[in-house]
Amino acid sequence: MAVKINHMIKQRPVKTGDKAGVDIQTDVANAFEALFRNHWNRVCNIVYRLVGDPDEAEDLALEAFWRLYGRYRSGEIQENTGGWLYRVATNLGYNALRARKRRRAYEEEAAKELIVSNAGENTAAEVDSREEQERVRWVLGKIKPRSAQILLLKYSGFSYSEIASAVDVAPSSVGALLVRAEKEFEKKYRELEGRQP
Amino acid sequence: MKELWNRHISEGDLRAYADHELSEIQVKPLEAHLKTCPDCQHTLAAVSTRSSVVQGKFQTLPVSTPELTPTWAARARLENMIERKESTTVFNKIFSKRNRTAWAILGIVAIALSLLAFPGVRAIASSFLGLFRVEEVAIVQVNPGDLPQQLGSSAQLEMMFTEDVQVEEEGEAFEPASIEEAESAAGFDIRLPGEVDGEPELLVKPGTTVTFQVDVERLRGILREIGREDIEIPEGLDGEEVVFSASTAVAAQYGDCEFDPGAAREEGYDPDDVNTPYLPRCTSLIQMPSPTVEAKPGLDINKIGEAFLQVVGMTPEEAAQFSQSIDWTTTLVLPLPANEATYTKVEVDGVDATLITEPKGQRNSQYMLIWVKDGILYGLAGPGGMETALTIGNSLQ
Repeated sequence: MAVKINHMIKQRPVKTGDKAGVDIQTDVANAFEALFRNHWNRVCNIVYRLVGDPDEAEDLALEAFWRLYGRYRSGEIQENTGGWLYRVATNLGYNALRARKRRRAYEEEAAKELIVSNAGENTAAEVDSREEQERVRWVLGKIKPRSAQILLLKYSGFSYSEIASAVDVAPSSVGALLVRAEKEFEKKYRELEGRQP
Repeated sequence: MKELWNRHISEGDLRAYADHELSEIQVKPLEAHLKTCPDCQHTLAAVSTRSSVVQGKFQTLPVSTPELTPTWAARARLENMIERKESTTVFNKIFSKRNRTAWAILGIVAIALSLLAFPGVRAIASSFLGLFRVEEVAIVQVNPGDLPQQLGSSAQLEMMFTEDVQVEEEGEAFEPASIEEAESAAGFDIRLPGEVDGEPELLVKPGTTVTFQVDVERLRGILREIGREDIEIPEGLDGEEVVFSASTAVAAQYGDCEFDPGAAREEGYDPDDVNTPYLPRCTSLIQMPSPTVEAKPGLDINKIGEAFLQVVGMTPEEAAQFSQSIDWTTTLVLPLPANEATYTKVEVDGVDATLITEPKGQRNSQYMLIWVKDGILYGLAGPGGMETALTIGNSLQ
């Protein structure tokens, strides 16, 4: 065990890029290590945008990599490994976001208290910004999972082809799916605003 | 997409166009059509407006996490997950970053164990020395806020568990058919309380040996991670072993001891929230021969104890004072969160005992009573307060 981890940490494989799927048969371990190294930060950041809690985001990101590892080991790995990784990671994040909904009522209470108690320390802009983030996440939890994924990826700087590979559609459909997702988002957002005093 | 735009352009294509995601071959005919088609111009404007509104909302979300774990450390965590998930998922939960409380406790145990391995003078004898046997229990109150937060995320600590700590269990836990069977497996006489309703369910947990191999560099790394580089680790112990042994334990459980998530949830238990633990209506008595710790002789155990106390939040002066008040070779020192529980010395079963209770006024409050008699360590826990604890504790037969 000791040897294994040290080996993985010290002898960083030199392969880069997302050719993991191709190299899998010749060097499974190296391919996985390269993928981990190249994508860890990005996966974490994306999931964090979705769930808003750094610890939870990290747990979920690790979960995604752990599942990917399982695929590597069972030889299930095919092309488009990177896309698969982001699909799983954003799915996990989305599920976590929705699982929180049932706790929403008291969370909102707690958030209100927090806002009141911190009123002296935080500027109005900071409070607004935090509320706005929660609204965006709430709406993301309400729209279709794939729509939420597409929006999240798009507004985290993913290209159409990257989005296409993550949600497993043809790149030429991404534009239409984006439009649909934005309509859903806007509709739910309006509903939320309408409900607020 | 059609090559020639003799019909209106779809919203999706307009969106792709606005995002510069169309190829040049696609763009030219699209623009040609757009110039002459007010409908499509209107649609493009609507699509673009909506997308900038949505984009504006997303811009409020932070771009990156404020606490990004370095890739190598995350990779080490993943390695642990791979190891752990293959054996048990419960263990993995303990390693979850969310589970900071459990982590901190594990951390304290690990540090207690590892600190036991630091001798003040270099060990010269090669034979092992019986170092520690529980005869008494002492409580040190800990303010969870004072614990090194980094314990919960220490990658070094996780690696230490994986690489340097070996746990050997002598067998699976089992339910004996009779008290006699439990006694013959445990090797000591089992005592049961008279003042509890119902029949006990017995569980025999065979012994466990934990062998910790000292890795001085790693320990320094952990102390560095928790910001306690001031605690010194002497040279010369690298590779030495500390062995913690717990013999077979027997648990007797009374009442509603099976965990039922459905029923628990109805009572307000939230599995995702560590702050609302499910408190079953279960009284349990655990008995086992006193666990032991063995290491090479030459340990300055007072110094080790003081270092441990400092890690859990005492000042060096407080630690020295506390350390002088107890005998470290015979005292099990339990860290106890100051806000969540109080403790008091009581007499039970004819000996001194430590009673831990939750602050008054809490719903479903629980007690825990710990004592040592004739070399056997007893732990009694259940719902209620001091009176219940003493009644049951004094009724052991």
